[in-house]
Amino acid sequence: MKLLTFAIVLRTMAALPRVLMLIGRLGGEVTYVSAADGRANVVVKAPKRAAHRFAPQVRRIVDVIEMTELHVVAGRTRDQAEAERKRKLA
Amino acid sequence: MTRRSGSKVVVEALTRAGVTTAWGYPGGAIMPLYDELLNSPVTHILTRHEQGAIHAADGYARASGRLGVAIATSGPGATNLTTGICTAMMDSVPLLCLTGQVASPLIGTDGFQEADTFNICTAITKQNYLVRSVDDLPRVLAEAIFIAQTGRPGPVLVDIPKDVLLGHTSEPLPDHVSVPGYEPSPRLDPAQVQKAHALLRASHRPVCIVGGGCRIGNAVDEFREWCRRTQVPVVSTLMALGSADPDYAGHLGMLGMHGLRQANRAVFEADLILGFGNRFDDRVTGATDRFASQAKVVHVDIDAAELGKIIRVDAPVHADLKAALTAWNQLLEQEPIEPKSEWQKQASSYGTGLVRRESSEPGKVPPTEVLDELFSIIGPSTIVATDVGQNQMWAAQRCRADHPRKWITSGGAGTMGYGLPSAMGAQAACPDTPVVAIVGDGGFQMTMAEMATVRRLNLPLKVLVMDNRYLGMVRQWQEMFFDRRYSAVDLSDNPDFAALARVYGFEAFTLTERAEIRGSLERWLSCAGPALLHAICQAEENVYPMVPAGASLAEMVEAPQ
Repeated sequence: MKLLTFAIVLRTMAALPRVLMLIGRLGGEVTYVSAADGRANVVVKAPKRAAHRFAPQVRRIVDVIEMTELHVVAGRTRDQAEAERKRKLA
Repeated sequence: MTRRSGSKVVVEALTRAGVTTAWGYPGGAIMPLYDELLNSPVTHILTRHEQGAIHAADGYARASGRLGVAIATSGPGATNLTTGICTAMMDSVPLLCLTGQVASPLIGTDGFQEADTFNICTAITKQNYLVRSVDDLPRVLAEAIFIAQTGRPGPVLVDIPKDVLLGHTSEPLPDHVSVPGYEPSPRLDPAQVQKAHALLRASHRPVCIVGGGCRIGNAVDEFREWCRRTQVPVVSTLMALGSADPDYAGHLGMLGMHGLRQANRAVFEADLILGFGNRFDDRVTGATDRFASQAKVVHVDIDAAELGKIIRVDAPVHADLKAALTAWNQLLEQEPIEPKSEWQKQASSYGTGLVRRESSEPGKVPPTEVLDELFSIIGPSTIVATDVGQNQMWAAQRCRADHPRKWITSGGAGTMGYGLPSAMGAQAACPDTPVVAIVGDGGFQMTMAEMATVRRLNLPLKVLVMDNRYLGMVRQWQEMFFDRRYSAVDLSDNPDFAALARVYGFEAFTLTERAEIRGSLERWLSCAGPALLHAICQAEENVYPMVPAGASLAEMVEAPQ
């Protein structure tokens, strides 16, 4: 799976279900949505094979005014944090 | 602006958009619009089912290049449109669908004939609207008409509550439509064309796959000029038949699952694929990992979402095909390439893979022979509409249309029942052009009530029913991939379609003998009004060549000798 993060500007909030339906159809799992006043941030777990299809197809929706794909820098995993803590304590 | 009703606004919007014909079926919620249509210059054609109306609007749009309009009432009226909406969406057909909705206070109460049309149609429309206020109606209609016809066209649905149709507004229709974020015509980047040109120059075995975008983008002339300059072998998708000049020696016919041998082999051997307005559908590519595996790929499309969607692309050209080919032809003028004539000759030498049966069952005719004869009689200027299944593939393999608007078929959706009503729409759009509908016995029975509409309009439509008393394509798959276990494909108790057509007021004939094929076809085609030919076909004839699902284009199954 690949994690995709989209910042979307919508012409109308009524278009948000269309976006979410499309993501579902492409095989994505929406893990986080926040939306208000024509803006939405959506995080999607996308199948790696089809991940390249999400952004262009969401952009194609007429009521999507703008869409930016955010590249999130991965944080440390719990194991990495624990290893780092131990290293510091040693 | 004077105040006028919502219904009047609809008629105003249609008239301003140049709409002269609408297809539909009335009902409670849409009655105010039907009342207004009586006073309008728009000719409304009453079909016998909403599905007939939308397929007719679709055929009308494909044949004419104009906007198709379909009207239905709320609830079942709207849901009966959905198959046609999906068909238009898959094949990028500009349609405006107007549906009545229960009055606003009743929305959400499970009122009589209430359905959530907006949400039902969200996934199968390019854009859709539920109009909440009559003051919004002028803007919404102008937007809907604009969006349906621009960029990559598609169906747009406007769901209008009854009180909105009855309400009054003084809002004018906007003179100019602006939809923020909607960019229907991407600006051509000349560097992308130059890169594609460089790949073409370097290639030895290029093949162009022309798709439905050539017709939709009105790029036929530019495409033919490009072919003339390059002599690149061309294969057509199902949607693009008729795009290549019928006299172009490099046209290898349709590719894909039931494509011709020469088309599929050329693509398999190509070192460069040039996709023009196509979408690399699974019926075209076969197994994608083995599709033209030695080739670099150039893909020209107006829809950015198509570029790289299925096939990795080396040189994407995000542009309207007409604009891209105009620029490319200019480039070819300045920097001509070595014509690919030798490779063209080699590709053509692989042959079509179509075979003619020597024997036939008594009292039945070989379906492919009927079509061979038909196409030799009608020539390239007749509009041919097909249904879906074996009849469609046999016809596609033999299609000789001289323009893609003369080939009407449901490609992406594969909608059975499409043939007769779409042919009716095409005939209404082009009254002076002969139109033939080629249908199977299965698909015909899904929408055959539209014979009544054809008769009422006195359209000189010619319907060929190829009756093998089976759902032929499903039967073929069951024969080939399910050990001949025929499940739910038997139509052996079909009615006498010629007798049925006569009841509807058609002239009708039955064809059972091989020796009578040409004579029957000529008699049927010479009828002045609507006429039907019921061809009793050999039952277990298969469509060949065939690329089994999941196989590569090189793994074609050819007709047994």
